[in-house]
Amino acid sequence: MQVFLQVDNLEVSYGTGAAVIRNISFAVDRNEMLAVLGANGAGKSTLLRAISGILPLKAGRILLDGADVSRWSPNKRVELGLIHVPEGRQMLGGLTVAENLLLGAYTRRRERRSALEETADEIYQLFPILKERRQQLAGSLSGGQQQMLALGRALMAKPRVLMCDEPSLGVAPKITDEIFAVIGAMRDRGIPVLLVEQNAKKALALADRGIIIKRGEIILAGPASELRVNRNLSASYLGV
Amino acid sequence: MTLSQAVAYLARRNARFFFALLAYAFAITPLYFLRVVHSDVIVTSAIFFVVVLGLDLLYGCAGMLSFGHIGFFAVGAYSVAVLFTRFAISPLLGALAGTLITIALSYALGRVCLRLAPSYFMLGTLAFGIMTHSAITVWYSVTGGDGGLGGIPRPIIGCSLDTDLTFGAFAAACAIVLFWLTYSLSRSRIGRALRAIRGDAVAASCLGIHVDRLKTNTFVISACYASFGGSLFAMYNGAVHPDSFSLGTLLDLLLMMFFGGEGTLWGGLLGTTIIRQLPDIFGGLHGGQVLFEGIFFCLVIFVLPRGIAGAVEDAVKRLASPRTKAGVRAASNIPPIAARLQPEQAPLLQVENVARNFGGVRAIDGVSFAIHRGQIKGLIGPNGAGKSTLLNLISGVLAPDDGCILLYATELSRLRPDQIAKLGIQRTFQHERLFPHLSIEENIMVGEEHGADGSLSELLECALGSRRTLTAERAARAKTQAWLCDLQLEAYAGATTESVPQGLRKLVELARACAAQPFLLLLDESVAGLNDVEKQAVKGFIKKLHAAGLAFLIIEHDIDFVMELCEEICVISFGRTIADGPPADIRKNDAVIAAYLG
Repeated sequence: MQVFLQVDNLEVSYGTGAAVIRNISFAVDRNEMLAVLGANGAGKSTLLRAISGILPLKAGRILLDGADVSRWSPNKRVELGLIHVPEGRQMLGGLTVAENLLLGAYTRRRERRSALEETADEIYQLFPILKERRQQLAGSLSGGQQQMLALGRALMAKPRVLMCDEPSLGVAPKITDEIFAVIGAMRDRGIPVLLVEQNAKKALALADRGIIIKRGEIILAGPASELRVNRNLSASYLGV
Repeated sequence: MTLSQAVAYLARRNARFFFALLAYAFAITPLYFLRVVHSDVIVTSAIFFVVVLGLDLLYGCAGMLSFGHIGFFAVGAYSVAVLFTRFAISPLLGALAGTLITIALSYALGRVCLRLAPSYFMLGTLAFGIMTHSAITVWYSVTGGDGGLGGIPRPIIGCSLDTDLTFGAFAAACAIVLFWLTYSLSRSRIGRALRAIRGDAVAASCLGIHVDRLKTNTFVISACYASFGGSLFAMYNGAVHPDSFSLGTLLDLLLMMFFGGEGTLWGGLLGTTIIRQLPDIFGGLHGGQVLFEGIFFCLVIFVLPRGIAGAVEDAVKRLASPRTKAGVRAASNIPPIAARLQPEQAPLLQVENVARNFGGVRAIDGVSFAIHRGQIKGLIGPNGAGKSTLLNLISGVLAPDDGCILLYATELSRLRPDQIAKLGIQRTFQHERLFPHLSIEENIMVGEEHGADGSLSELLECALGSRRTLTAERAARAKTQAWLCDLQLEAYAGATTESVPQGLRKLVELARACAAQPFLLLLDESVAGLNDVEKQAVKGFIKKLHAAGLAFLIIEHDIDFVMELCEEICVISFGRTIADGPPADIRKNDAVIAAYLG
């Protein structure tokens, strides 16, 4: 049986400029979390945007559950369960917290309302502050609360692949641990997770495998336990 | 700077201006002699170019789209016509009178409409345009109503401007002078300030730009362009009629700007000429003319969303090899800050019992703390505790409902953000607020130039490009390079904001704030999204600034970062202070552990 998410020789560039990422290949199977590490500007966010279809590919292909989705539109990929939590929250500020969550479940529009509310309740249990604020406009939440909402909104879709871009950005230490726990729990439920994170220590502690990107190319890949103790890691990862 | 150096600098700085004029002259001359383009088109193009310049200064730079300019255009035209036919006052004096009336009208209109959100600003100005049109149509006794007014002579300047050639030369000379002034203005610190406002008015204000005044003055100047264009229009045609000032003409003006390329100024040359020429091109179609013009516009705007000039500029930018400044490492320019501080023992900043409500929620509920000169103070707390709100209160983005904030003896709570910035407090934002219409270098220059007063004298000085402003600009550019080097961002100097990775954008914002040389810097999660080595670099940078005497208030969730850097930490939760003291005490504090550290 094939792996769940497979990426072959990906190449992406903005406009007609030089390639931002090149020759990126990896696979993430069920029950697996892949940490994507690298310095700022290495191309991590670009990689996630390409996989979710916001950026077109220049070369390479993306296989999702065996299907080649390289040419699919972003919304079609979401319908298949490929959910991307973008960097920097990106809330729908004019909608309430509850409406934001419901919109996250847009792909489940044929399901009964009670099923959606069940998922919403699970998310409210994870982040009680969201329940307290559920009738407030998302734009009025603090930065960290919006980050929680962004993750909650992604979970509403019942993702089959989850891609998180710096989920701990701007979140208090206590909540960071909770967010990582939630993402870990998703993996344990059998959902492949792609985690982009600046906090390499925490990311590698949680992930099963990791890749390190430097100037758009994978320079190191391996099991997280090995990367954690790799002496070259800090030097290469930090782009020195 | 010697004279020849100054000339060379001016030529290089204004290459676009000279190139656009020369290219236009070379293109239009053969077309004129081949009788493809008639003199009428060229003269009216010059006249409308004046109006479009004003529109583009307002929209292309400051992002305000005015539909009221058709009204000011009419005011200028009718001032000339009415004053001549009723009082036999010469057309040039009539134009002056029209400008004065426009200044009064646009100032009043601007004070009202500029408070509105952009879409309502458009509607408000549109109402003015329609009212002007109605007034000139029905006010028979003065404007001649729908019969119009005629018999306006052309002005006499040395010689009579009776022929199309002489009047054309006069109109072109006026247009070129105004083009030059507008171009200098848009390239100056005022241009940068206007584009900053277009991108993010709150951040612009926090960098010391007097947003309201600058917007009002720009609106008035822009209206004067329309009025003067109207006066030229009346002199050229020798008659005025309400039809020339209808919504159709407004639409033409807007099309001239968008078609030529908003924000480029020189695009107006192309836009006006093409639109004036269109009736000749599509004239044979009679009834179908409007339809075909419409289709033509849709196609052009669809293919060239930034207009013709915008497309040309993009192409040139793509062809020009990107400026790589590898190896250019300017010396660090952290100024000694302590020298500028009052040698008092009193706290630098004192926050006393400050409270702020949002609707029914009490976001800040009586917070007090002090920052001493040259101190690094941390502000931590759970998400939603009110940290960013507190920063907004200190920087003047929000006003407190209760309590007071003192910088030495100055009460800050009733001051605007730009006033607070001028007093020496700078800030960054939790979610980076760079100005998207400016390059990275220009973003920092806005800080370096201490914003803008927006006063008329400042606008005039920048438009004339006085030697002082040019020297200051070159100095600011050089210093900007040094700030970029300090934060290892020099590779991004000419880049657009969106091409910079998210984590590094916050560093650009940090550089922008530092460039304004504050003595208190408020940082809202500046290292979120950076990896450990990048964080170490920022830490080193902050320590250097601290050594120079700069005081900090730092909001950050990276607890090790805060503990190592800060001399004192204030912890808030649910809008109240739960602890305040040295890092070691905070780490052991039970309340802090329960609420925050976990």
